[in-house]
Amino acid sequence: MELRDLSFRPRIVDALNRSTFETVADVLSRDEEQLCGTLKISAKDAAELVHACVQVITCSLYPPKTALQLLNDAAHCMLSTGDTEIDKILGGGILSRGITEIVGESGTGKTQLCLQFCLTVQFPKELGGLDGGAVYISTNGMFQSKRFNQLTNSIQLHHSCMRNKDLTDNVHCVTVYNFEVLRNIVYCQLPVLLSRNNIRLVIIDTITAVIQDAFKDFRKRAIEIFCLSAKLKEISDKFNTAIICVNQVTSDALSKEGFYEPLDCDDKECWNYAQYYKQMLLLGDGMKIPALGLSWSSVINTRISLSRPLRTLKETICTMAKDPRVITVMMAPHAPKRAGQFYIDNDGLHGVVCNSKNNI
Amino acid sequence: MRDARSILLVKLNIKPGQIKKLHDAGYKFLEDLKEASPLSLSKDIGVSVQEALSIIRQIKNDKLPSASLTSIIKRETYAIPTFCNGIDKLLGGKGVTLGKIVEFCGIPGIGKTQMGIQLSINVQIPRNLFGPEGEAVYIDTEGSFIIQRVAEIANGTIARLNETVEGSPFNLETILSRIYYFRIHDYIQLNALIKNMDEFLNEHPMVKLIVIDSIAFHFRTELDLSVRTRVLQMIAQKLEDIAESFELAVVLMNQMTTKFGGNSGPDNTTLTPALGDVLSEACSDRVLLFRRDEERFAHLFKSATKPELQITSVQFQIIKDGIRDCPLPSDPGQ
Repeated sequence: MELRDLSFRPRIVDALNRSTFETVADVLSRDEEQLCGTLKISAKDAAELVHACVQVITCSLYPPKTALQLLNDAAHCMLSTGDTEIDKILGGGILSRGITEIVGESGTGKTQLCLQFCLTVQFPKELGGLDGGAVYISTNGMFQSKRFNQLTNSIQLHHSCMRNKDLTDNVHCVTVYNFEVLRNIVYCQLPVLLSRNNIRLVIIDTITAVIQDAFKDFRKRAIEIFCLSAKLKEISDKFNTAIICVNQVTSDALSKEGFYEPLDCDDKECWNYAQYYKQMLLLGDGMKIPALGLSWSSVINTRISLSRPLRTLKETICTMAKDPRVITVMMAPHAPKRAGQFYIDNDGLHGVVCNSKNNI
Repeated sequence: MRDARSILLVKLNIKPGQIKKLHDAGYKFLEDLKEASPLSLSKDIGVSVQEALSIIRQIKNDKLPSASLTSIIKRETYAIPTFCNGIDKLLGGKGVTLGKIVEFCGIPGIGKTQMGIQLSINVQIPRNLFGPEGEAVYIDTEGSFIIQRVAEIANGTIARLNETVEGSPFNLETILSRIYYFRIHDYIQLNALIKNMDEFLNEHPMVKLIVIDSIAFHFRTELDLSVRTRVLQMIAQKLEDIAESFELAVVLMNQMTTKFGGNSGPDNTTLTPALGDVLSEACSDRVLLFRRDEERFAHLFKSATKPELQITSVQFQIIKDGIRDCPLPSDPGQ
């Protein structure tokens, strides 16, 4: 919000014109004493300036909704995967707002799941869709259109209501190769695109490499991660759009011992870094954890991991599925940690019905 | 009106140590401190900005920081239970005490949002069940306040209360209508919202809890540490004022960050609460939620009032109904 769009007393306007202040944020990031000093205005004028800025910023927040209104508005709904069993594991699907991360080693089905979401998002609400289109931002080569067509045909075969729709027309694809372009798309182009089209899902496949390549300095990287995700969440709320970010894995420092900070506390283990890693550890052959570290983990709302189970686990599986994989809700604000098996065939991802509880 | 010139600082309700520092720096009369800013005062007398500010505030109010006994008793009687006895004990016996700021920090997925939701519901527990019978303001900066989950925990709470009292007047709709939800998209918005929170609280005097989930998220987008510290300090001060004057509890959720330790190289990496020390001044209690293997624990690592506490780590669990005690507490030493 620009300061020149607001009206103040002439002497405050003069003081602002003389200064380098441009936005409301410039005023609100200083306390009143500093404003007096920097702008050379009286305490009373400073208070008035702050008050006006506060009003401008907060007017859109009032009146707040009550939780009851949120419930009645169905503020959060679920986007189905198109498979009942997998939906059960995920607690109904993925959230229609906020950032959902899909993480896993290569070849575990991350992109397959994303392609499937591009189709299910177009389902009517009764079928667990959001009745809208999708944007697919790919950072590792072209959109897999061949596979997408295959899935489209299968969906149209199984759901008669989708037959008359052109499902490919509702998926907007873009390929980016570096972080600058990705940022440009998220900050400038995406809001325009979403304001003109009925889009309910944005996928970034994958977020990992562009960020890792662009920032070697960890502090800088963390700040960029927080900025980008704040913008994505803002877009998600404004346009009521689900965001999926695909993340890769890394075999980071699990072997390191002794990560703790005493901080005058007897219970040293509570600061233990290894405990964090242990929680984030994926199923699979290696000691793999999601890439991009703790900062990225702090910005996502939901984390879903896909993995191929360990061999010993594989042997105990009593299903007919040829190549069973595991989908795990690592963390989610709406669902407990839970895992289940699935397999992929021509028609997409399918959950394996499991009678015994498969809590991890 | 007394003449400010004639009032000796020693006559005011300032700590002896602070008076000595003020005297050493040449401050004798109230008049001398009239123009002082927290920053200049802190440099002059060699104390933290926070402490300088508290001196100035104390002088400006020129009154004893007294609370009536009734209000103290009220605060202590009507705390907000977490539904985990262990955590309640850490926080002083009955849960989150009104009039204070409490911080919960922990890694993603440990249950900070779940705790926030549970408290927003529990603040409404009626007086006859020793709850504060209030309302809650939930300030969501991350978008993790999922309404279906709130309803689920509310139902769990109703079920639990019905075990104690037959036909309690508590139902899902009333609970949900007493939680006011603000979604915040940057820290300037957060600062502005907190700045004029008074107005809202005057209109809604039943609000006894403000949850900010999380305080850290938007501040971590700011590159300039001095700006970050400054705005954070403004917010922390305002929250202290609000907590005190409206007799409500403020619960801050905080994220964890990586700390690259000292001289021993990059290998010496530890976890630490985000945002540095700015918050710790304002929070009377700081609780770390952490995991050991698959179990969840809460650890009190800063407390203003309870230094004598023997056990500082307790186990808790999150189930469908919300935050609960563990049925069979396992020995933390194992």
